[in-house]
Formats: sequence, C-alpha cells, structure tokens
Amino acid sequence: MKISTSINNSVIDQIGADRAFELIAKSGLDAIDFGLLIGYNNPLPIMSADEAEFIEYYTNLKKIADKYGVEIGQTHAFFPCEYDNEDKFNWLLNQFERNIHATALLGSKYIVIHPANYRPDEYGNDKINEKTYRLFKALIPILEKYDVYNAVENMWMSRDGVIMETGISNADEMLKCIKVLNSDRFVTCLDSGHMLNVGRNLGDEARKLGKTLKIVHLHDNRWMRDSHEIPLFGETDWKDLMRALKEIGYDGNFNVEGSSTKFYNIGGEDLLYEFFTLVVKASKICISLI
Amino acid sequence: MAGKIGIATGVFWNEYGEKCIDKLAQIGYDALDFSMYTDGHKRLSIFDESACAVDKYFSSIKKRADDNGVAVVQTHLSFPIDFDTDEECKIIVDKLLPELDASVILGAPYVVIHPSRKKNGLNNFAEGVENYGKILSAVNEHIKGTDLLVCVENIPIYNKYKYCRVQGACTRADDLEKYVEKFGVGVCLDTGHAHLVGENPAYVARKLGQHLKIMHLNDNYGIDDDHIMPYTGGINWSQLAIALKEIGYKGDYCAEIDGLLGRIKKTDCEFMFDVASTNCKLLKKFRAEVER
Repeated sequence: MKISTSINNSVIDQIGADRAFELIAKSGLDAIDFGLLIGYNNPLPIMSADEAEFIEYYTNLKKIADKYGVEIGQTHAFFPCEYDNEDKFNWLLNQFERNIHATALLGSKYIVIHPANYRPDEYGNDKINEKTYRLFKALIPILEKYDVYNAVENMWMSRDGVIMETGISNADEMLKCIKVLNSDRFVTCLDSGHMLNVGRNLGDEARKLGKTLKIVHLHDNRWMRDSHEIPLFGETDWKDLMRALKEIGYDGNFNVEGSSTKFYNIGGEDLLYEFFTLVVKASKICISLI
Repeated sequence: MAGKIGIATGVFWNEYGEKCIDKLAQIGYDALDFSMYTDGHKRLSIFDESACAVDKYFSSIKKRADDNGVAVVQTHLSFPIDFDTDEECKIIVDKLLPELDASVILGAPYVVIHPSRKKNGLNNFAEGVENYGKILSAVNEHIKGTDLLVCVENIPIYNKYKYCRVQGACTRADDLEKYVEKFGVGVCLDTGHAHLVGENPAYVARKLGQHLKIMHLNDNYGIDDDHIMPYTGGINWSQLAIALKEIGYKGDYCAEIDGLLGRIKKTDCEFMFDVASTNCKLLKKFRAEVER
C-alpha cells in the first residue's frame, strides 16, 4: 500500500516545487494528495489565469513530481461548496472545471469535491442533498471530458461548537448520492476523522462502502474536534479500520490528511519534513497492524 | 545559560525503565521531569519496597542520567492527594515523603505537589488551601536542610455534572498567587491546564513573575486535557514566549505530553520516541523565542 499525505499547492509554491517534491520523496512518502487551494474559501490565483499559463504550470509540476518518483494519487478541490444563488453556483462550476483539469494534468484519476454542508436544523437533509446532487450532476460532463472521478466524502457541520451530521456524513448517504447521480464518474472517499467526529463506527462504514471506496482521508482526533492529527495520535481504532479495508479489497493509497500546512507554518521546511517522516512511520505502523 | 530541554518520564517508565533516559538523551533531551508514577497515574512500585531499595533504585537512575548528560530538573509526586480526615492526610503524607527523598537523590531542585481537595467532589478554595497547608507542614519539615522547593501546579478538574474542565482547588492565576503568598511555594505553570479554563498562559506567567519556577509545556484545543505537543493546539506560544522573556524566566523547558504519547503507546511504543524527537525540536524552537 502506498503511503501518501495531503499538501496544499500554496505550500509547494512557497517552498518551491522542486524542493518540495525532493523533501516528499526523501521522507519516504510514495504519493501526495494535492490540495488545489490556498486554504478554506481561498482559491489559488492560477485557477483564474489564462489557459496556456495554467496548463504550463500544472504540466511542469507533474514533471517535477515524476522526477522524484512521487505519485499524485488524488487531489482536493476548492471548498466550501455551499451556494445560495446562481452566480455562486456558476463560480463554483468554473472553479471546479479548472480543479478537475489540473487533476488530469497532474496525472491523477481522483478529485474530492465536497458535498454542500449546511446546518441540518436550518435546511433539512433532503434540501441540503438536493444542492449537492445539482452541483455534482453539473460536474459530470467536465469529469468525463478530463477522465477524472469525483470521490464523495463524508462531511460534518457544527452548531454552537458542537459537531453533527449534515447531508452526507455517513456511508448510507454517500452510497445514496452515487445512486441518485447514476453516473460511473462518482466513487467514495472515506474520511476517518469526520466519521469519528459524528460518532460512526469507522470499520462498519468502510465495509458498507465496499468497492466504491477508491481513496481515503485518514487522520485522527479525540472525537470533539476535527483536528486532523497524525494516525495513532487520537482515539481511532486503526486495527479495525485496516481489517475493514482489507475485507473490502481496498487497493488505494494510505493517504493521511494531516496538518502539513500547520507544521509548515510552525517551523518551515524543517518541521514540514518532520511531519512527513512522522506520517510515514505512523502509516507503516497502521498498515502492519493486520 | 540556556534553559534545558526536558520531558516527563511517566509514560516511558513501564516499558523502558531507566533505559528511556538513554533514548531521550539520544534524541536531544538534556533534562527530565521525573514522574513518581506511571501509566494510569499509578505510583511507582519501587515505593512498596524498603527504604534501602528505594535509595539504590534512584541512585542508579541519577547515575544513568549523569552518564547521559541529562539533569533531573524537576520531579512530579504522585496524585491524587485529596482527603477528608487527618488520618487520610497522614496516609498521603507517608506516601509523599519517600518520593521527596527520591527527588533529593535525583538532584532535582523543584518538586510538583498537586493541590488537594476534599473528597466530596465540591470545589471549595478554602478547603483546598486548608488541605494543602496540612500536607505542606509535614513536607516542609521533612525537606528542611535540602535545596528542594515545592511548586504548586494549576489543576482544573472534572465536575461530575459537566464533561469540561472546571475550577478546582488551585486552578487559575489568582489561586496560584494566593498559594504563593500563603505557603511560599514556587509555581509550575501547566500551559494546557491554563488554556482549558480560558486563561492565556502568557497572562498567568506575567501574574506569577519570579514565582514561576518550572513548567509543564503542552497544548490542547480548549475542550479536553489532550497534552499534545506545543504549537500543535490552540495556545499562542509566541505570546507566552514574550511573557516569559518579560518576567526574566531563567528556568527549563519541560514538556508534559503524556496524553499524546499514551495514546500512541497503545499501538506502538517505539513510535513514542519519534514523536518525542519532534517535540524536542518544538521545545528548542520555543526556547529560542524566549531567549533571543
């Protein structure tokens, strides 16, 4: 199983792509989950550059990744994905078209575009999911054009600081979403930390997802906060999850969606490298559990 | 002279014993916060044996630390030490005295004794002070003539009706200040505990000033007592660094990340040292911010 971690495009830009991929490879990572954004609600300027510049930028990044033998196993699109008017809906579609195109240029088959997250007491799950289905349906031609798959991820919402389920927060809702969309362009992405936050049994949810599960966001926490800790730092039952992944024949990467940006902000390259090495070690321990 | 970089030993002791000192020295620590307890806050079993055995045990640890260039800069006595009656107080004191002797053998200048409460579960500052006074009068008599200074630590508690950390017998900066005034003790600032009850550790540091002798450096997200690495939670470490510089803090930098390491240990013991290594680098970064 390849070991992967999430890193944002913006961090790679700050370090310099060549140096960033050098560090990634040196740490023992096999692959990355490429974050196509600066941060929450903060899109990358390159996503609105002219097409030639955009294509050159991502083609070049792919060359550098290849030079260091680092696979770009999956990407993460811009978020949040909530929209309350047509202007925002169209803006999101344009942003996602670029994100999906970037994914293809980076040689990845999978992108995670979040479902819409609203407070369930304000909208009701059905209405929240209608928004997600509409957005995802609109993406189908774009996904087909670039031969990329959108992995539906389980999310959460919070009210007064308390985390709760929203439209798509568990395996049943993820599978229902794929069924409603009725397109082979949708698979699933299991987020371990989010499942723990909403109190679901991780192994059971993975088993339900079965063959639809193609990529993962693995991280840990202590239930109450989505802190994206390195595996083993929190309360997740990693043995049960690994057992479940084996049972369903999961053949994707062991991708840790940890806080690489946080470590980079704390201590630059040195601490980012520390983070990478801890991810590699923790991942190997988890993989060896079964 | 720069403060030393240390870590609490409790979480390592069951599996590694004094060998953990070798491993911690190899990854960059030059100080220890020696815990007189191990997993589950269980008192070290050596204290069930004779005084001679205890003496031999801690002399060996001291030698191992010296051989590795590591100083025991503080110790942490076992807890809880809550009691209702004088008879219960005596039982607690009888347990603490050999731990104090061990601290002297280890050469530690500071020892943390937790605040004490009545066992009825209610928070009563006056009762806490009364309890601590009874313990301290026996403790101070015992350590007369040594260089050991008792330090009180800020401790929040679980109220059984809530699941968040709340006010205990000595929890906030004001409480610590009163303990210093009344008992002449030093202060051990637990940064995570301060953050949990909504106090900026920088504020606590400024308030206690020269009475702040040692620290338990750790972080959390303000919800539970996670004891995770500095810089990785919600505490503003830059503000704390400025405060420590302002008060002229000359002590050491000891992390108490037993919570995090204990969770890791459930799956893999050796990985604790990888994380402790990263923690060492974070402590050095913090020290550089304070001492620049």
